[in-house]
Amino acid sequence: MRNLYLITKEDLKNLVKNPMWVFYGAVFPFLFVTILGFLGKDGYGKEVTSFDYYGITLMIYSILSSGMTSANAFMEVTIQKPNMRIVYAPGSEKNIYLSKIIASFLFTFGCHLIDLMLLCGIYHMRIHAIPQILILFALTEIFSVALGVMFCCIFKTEAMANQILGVVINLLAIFGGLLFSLDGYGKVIRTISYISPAKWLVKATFGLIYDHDYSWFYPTAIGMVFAIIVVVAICNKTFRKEDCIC
Amino acid sequence: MLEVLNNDWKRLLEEKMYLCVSIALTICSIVAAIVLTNTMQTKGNIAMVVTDQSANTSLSKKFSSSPYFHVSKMKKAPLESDMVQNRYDAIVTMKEDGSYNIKTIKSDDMKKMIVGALNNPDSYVPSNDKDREIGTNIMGYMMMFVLIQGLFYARFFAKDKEEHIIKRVVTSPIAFRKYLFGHATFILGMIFAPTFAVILIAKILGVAIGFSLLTYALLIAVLSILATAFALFLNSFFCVADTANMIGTATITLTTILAGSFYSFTKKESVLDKLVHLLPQKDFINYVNALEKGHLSRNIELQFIYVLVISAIFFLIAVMKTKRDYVYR
Repeated sequence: MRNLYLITKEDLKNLVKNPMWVFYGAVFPFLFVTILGFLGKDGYGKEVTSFDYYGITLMIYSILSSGMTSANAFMEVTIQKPNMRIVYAPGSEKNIYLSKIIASFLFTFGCHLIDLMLLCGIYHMRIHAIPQILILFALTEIFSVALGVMFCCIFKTEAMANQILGVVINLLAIFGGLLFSLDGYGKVIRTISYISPAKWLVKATFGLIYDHDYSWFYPTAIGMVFAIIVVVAICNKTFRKEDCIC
Repeated sequence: MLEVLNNDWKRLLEEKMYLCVSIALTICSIVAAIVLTNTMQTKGNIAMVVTDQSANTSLSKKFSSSPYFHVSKMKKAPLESDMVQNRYDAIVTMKEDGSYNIKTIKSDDMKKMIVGALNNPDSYVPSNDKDREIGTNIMGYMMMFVLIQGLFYARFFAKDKEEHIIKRVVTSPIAFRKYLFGHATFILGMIFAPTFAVILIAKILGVAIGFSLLTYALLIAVLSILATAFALFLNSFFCVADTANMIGTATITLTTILAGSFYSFTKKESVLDKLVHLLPQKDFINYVNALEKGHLSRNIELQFIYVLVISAIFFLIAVMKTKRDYVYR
């Protein structure tokens, strides 16, 4: 446990120190919402503004993209040698990927919390049932971070994991209707879009905010917990300490 | 130049899993683009609330058979969260005396359109200016994935830099232009071939794709050139492949959505709108749209040339930057 704590602390320091990751985690989502919010302003009336819509959907998109950060934190060139040291050190080698999951979760969730606060403060984004939404977002964050690590464990190289992750996330986002709404496309597409976890998240979150409806919250949260368990189990299965030797 | 090309190809074959996964993802994303386009998109999804059977007048019957709207009749109004998620664009409540009440979170244009359709349901035809046709939609949806693929295949160049192989290249007699051009040809081919193949298969299967195959070949080629040039440009600035990748994916996603590849934003005559025209994706999609609708003007042809020019500039900067970094003077 103590080992895990120490490694996590170092990983977190490594993440916070890199300006590129801080940009990607904190500045990019805010910029994204701001630009799209301003551009889409005319399409919305007074009751619900474009920021209310894009604020939620694009934050979910950013949360799903945080797998990129964890993939970087896991197998970046500068981190390969420290990883190798941990392999040779006494203690469990599982700490290597567990610490990356925890550290990137803390880092990206912190960034996204700041973003959410800024959005609520500056654009008066409508939000309700804050604890439930935070639980949902935190679970998704763990899921996507673990997904990034899982891709690294499967493909062994970070570059490949990152590129594939980029396409997978975009496909999930499009089928979940995050980037543009799919509801105009008829029944078949609407049914297909429920495959994407992004769709459940959007539905649960908007249900909580606008209808105070909890019926989608519990299944989505339980589904996320289940998905996290599956992803971490795959990490556990595919992670080999030999891959860390460079 | 051919050696570089050949070498890249051999290196790619060494990583078969990588090749398979990236081609599979390409096919997935383009199939998704075609599928999304071929399902008909209506002007709006409307929930018609008829609480009382006597309110079910001829007006509501005529309106619900309108080809431009997808009208679902229901007894109870849908939840507000469904409206926010764009499941329904508006809720029309029919009253017993034949009057109606429209509720929407969208702009006034939407409301006007519905009022127009309700007032004379028989002869109503909405304005089609903003609608895109099939070919434009397919190009728009696949644009983001095609551009991201450039980063996929530029990784051998990135690896050359990361592992300092490029320093050995410098000492060999090959010219820098040729070295980068070899990489560029490789990336271009790798983007173009699978993308065009999917379109070709779709055409053979008889799916409506809008343009002729030749036009598609040309358009995809131009898009691939842009993707290649941008990928090389970005990679020439970073020595670590992953940094370039991450920044590239983020920039491409943001700018492509901004350029209105999925749907065009309606804001007019603002500074931001003019700035958006600086993005080559915007000019490209404008050109495709005009080409499909058949009103090409000189201005739009200039926009098309702009895409090529900016690709050339990206490539030149990439050459100059790498030259400055690695050639000793």
